[in-house]
Amino acid sequence: MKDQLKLSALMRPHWRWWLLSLALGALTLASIMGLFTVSGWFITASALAGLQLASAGSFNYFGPAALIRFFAISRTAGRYFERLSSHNAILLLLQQLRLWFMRRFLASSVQPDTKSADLLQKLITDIDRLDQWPLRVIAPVFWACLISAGWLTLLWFWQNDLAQLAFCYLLGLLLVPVFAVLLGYSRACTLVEMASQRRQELLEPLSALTMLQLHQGWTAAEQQWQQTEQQYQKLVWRQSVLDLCCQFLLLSILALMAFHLLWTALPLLQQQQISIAALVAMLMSTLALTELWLPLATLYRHLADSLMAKQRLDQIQPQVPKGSLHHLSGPLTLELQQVSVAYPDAIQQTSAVNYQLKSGEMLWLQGPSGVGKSTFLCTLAGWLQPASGRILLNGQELQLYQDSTLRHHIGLLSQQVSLFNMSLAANLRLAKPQASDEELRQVLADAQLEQWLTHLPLGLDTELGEYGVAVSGGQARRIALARLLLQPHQILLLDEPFVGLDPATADQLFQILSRRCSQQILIIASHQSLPALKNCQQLQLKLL
Amino acid sequence: MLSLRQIVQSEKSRLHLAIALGATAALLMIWQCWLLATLCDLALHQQPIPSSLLLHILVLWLLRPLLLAAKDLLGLSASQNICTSVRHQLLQLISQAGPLRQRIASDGDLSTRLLEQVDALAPYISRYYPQLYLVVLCPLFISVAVATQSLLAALLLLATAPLIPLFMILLGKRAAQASQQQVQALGLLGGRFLEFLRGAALIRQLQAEPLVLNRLNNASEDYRNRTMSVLSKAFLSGAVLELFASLAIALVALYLGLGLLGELPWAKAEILVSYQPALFILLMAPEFYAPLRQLGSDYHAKAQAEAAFASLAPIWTLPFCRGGDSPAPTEAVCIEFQQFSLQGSEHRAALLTDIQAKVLPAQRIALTGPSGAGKTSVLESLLGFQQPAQGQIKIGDQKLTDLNLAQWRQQLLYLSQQSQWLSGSLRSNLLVAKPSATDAELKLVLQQALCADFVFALPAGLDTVLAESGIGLSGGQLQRLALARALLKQSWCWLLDEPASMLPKEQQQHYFQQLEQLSRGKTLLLATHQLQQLDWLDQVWLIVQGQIVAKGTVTEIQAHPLYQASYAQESQ
Repeated sequence: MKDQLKLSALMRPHWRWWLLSLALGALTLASIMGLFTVSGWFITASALAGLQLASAGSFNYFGPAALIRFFAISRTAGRYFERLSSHNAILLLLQQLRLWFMRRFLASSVQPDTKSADLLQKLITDIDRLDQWPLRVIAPVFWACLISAGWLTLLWFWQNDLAQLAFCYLLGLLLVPVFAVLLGYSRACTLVEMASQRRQELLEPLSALTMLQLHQGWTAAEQQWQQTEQQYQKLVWRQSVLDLCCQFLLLSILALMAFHLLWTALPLLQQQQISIAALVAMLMSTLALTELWLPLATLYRHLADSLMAKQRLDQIQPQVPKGSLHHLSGPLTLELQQVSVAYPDAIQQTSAVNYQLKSGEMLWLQGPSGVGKSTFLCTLAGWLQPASGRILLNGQELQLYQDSTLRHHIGLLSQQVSLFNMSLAANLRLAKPQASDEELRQVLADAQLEQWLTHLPLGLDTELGEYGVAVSGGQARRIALARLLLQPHQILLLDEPFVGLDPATADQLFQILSRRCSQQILIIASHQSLPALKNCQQLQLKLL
Repeated sequence: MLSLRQIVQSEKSRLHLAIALGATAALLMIWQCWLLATLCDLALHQQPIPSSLLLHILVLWLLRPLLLAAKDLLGLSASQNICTSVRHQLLQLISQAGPLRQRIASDGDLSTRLLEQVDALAPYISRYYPQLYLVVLCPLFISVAVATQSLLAALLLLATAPLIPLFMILLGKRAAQASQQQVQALGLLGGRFLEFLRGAALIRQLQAEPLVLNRLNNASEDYRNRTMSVLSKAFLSGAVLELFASLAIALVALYLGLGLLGELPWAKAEILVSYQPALFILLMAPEFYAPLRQLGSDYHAKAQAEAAFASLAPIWTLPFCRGGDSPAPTEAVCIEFQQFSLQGSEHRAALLTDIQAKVLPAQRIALTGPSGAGKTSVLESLLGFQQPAQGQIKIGDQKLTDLNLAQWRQQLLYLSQQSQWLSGSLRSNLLVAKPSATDAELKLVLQQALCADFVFALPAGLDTVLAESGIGLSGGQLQRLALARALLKQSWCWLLDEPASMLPKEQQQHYFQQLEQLSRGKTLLLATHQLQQLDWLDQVWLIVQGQIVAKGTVTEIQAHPLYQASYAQESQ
């Protein structure tokens, strides 16, 4: 059973805001119609009264005049507050959506790496796109139906055969968005998909541009992209034509309706069944319906956009908890039996490794770049499945343990360091929220960052990341190392922790690490050769 | 370098036709209002209504949406044409700029600019630009029509009209300000959201989920409060414009109504405007403000287009070299750098200054020096992508910048530090260099580049599919494959940028031995950090801070104090 996104559930906590903005929107649109209707009626009635000069003095113009002023003001105020409340509701929805998505993403097994920036950006756009559903789909349909129904009811009380006529036309109007969905929905979906295809097909030759230019391959690659682009533009064009057709259909059905009502009402007027003032009022209100119905012409597009966005977000599914073991205590043994690892989709895997490590032991993993050291560590941490062989932790297969247990006992310092745009202290406290400043300083000193810390004017409160102080790659890795050391892991896996350190400091860091981890299992992957490393067990990783 | 308005000029005729259609639709609307008023007037006086009048009204009612649709269609086709041609131009520029493009942005960012940002110009062209004219024309037509019937009503409308440009400026400024602030706030929030998503693996590892969700919630709350306070001000100016429109319509209606009743304070028992013109004016009043409201709502299209255009601007000013049409030499000739300087991107120091050097035909030279000294720049300068800031490179007796660059690049074998791959099979990637190559040829180059052992050990051999940018093979394997690919092309000038940097030490030795064999008779420039197994080279240039500080044999350079200073750590 898939866990699906339910927008309605996310909107429910703030239903008052949604109701308010729908009501205000309806008030605004009703005021627009009222303004036209009453002014038309007022002028004609005045003219009628003016014709019979005797009754002109007795014509009460205060009521309609006040009504006209009221509508003028309620239309403005209504629109202003409608925009405010709907924006507030949307922002509340987006807040809920972001939290919902973050919760789900963290519970999923998606491992973002440097290549997934694009994917993440797309997901964020998708979340923002979902506001189209209430704003551009639900609300316009609701308003059009509500106000038109109200208008029809009033017409019914006045002249029911005119109302019957209008009812048929309104049904016709409703058919236009349905017709647009039938014709345009699948194309709109294709366009959303093609938009990412078009980008991909441009990006790939672009990132190999220099090579293609040197091998005369650029023109061919560009032409191939141009084909996709032309196809895309053709679809965009067709979509715009459909938009305009729907718009035209809506306008002409409304015009035909106004004309037909007029045509039917004129004989009634001549038979003196209805007054000319009422006829003008009816005509004006019919013309004002346009504003209500026009947004429905592009309904299908927003429908497609929001549904596609929802589908893509639904593809991120929370991981099914796999293991059941959670008890893990005492000294640990890590045993590798014929283990070989490979990154998902990789062509090659490493040759099989047999090894055994006990708490208090250290291992130095060696091998040239690209051989799979990082993949090996990720596999040991339980983030990836081994390509073959078994990893046993205290005699049980790694996969049999619960994720939370593994995370509690195994700490991995990966090459892709995540430092957030927060203060240094906040970054460190992600690992241990209740850690004291003293503790943070100590662990930074252990990670050979004492010198660096003393040079920061704001100390632990220094902002890191994009908007903060510049941190070199090596420093970032050691901040991450300090963060990891704040948690009491039984097994520590460190990927290239000595990057950017001169040999003496690297050696010092290694001494501290080996002291701190005297009761733990420590595995270090490094292409650097430190004299001290020679003293610990070594493992050379090779490709099969 | 063009401006946004200049770009629009290329589709001027189409857009002007669109404007003309829009103006015609406005005139039709005036006519239609007149006919409707006539009809009501006839009905009021209980006179028979000619069916020709009714027919007239129907035709006009249907004609107007048709004209408007045609106007929009013209606008759309103009914007599509312009966007396509702008995109084409930009792609041409980027492709000619080669590696220079990376000074502007990453490839992902560049493709966003080429696609989404160019698309963002479309609403400006199709909607905002015609509306800019219609916003003047339509109210003008209407006020003239109203003035023929009632000067006072026309004055009422016109009195609010001068306020409108004022409000538009205010509105525009406010909207721009508001949207800018909102974009900033959104950027911060989006940034936080994105960084948490990116750091998902770490957050899971630290089991910091509740902390992160809490922080995200606070950031969203903060963003919502800030945005709402900005919006409440931004919407106010729009509301004031709307209020003016509504009040003006209400005032006109009251004036006309009271006039018909003979109740106007200054004209008691006197009808100034009779019913027909009164209704005519009333019907047109809302249309007077409609174009202005439209322009207001299209304003963000303009702001977006301007921002998008600003992001495209640097592409137009890339200092790339266009080349000439002199044929490139197909045999080894002398290459000479004459006082050659190369500028980096703005605000940065020169990449190369005053390079003076000569490479004889078939001479094999190594470039060495610390990282960032300019070794890569020397190699890239020979590819002819960048216009030199000063001096020139002579290829034989011709300037590099005068050569037919496509032909010249055919003479080059170039390996960049990061080899570039397309998704597809290994075979298709190799064939990029020579589409007609046979399997035997492929096998030969793979053997020459020391790839045969691992390529043919793969289960699918040459048909192994490379995922995006070569994932799945080690760095060293990709470097050797890049050499194999380049060997498919017959070229006399070899430019190799640290071609063995990712190979293990013992394989490096083998690689350079092989390179010595292969490069005999070729002009070779080899950027390298280490000179250990390279005593077969004719000459070594030591490059420091964009200048050649020494030329000599391998042993001479190895003894050079600057060389020793830069590589002291490594040899330790």
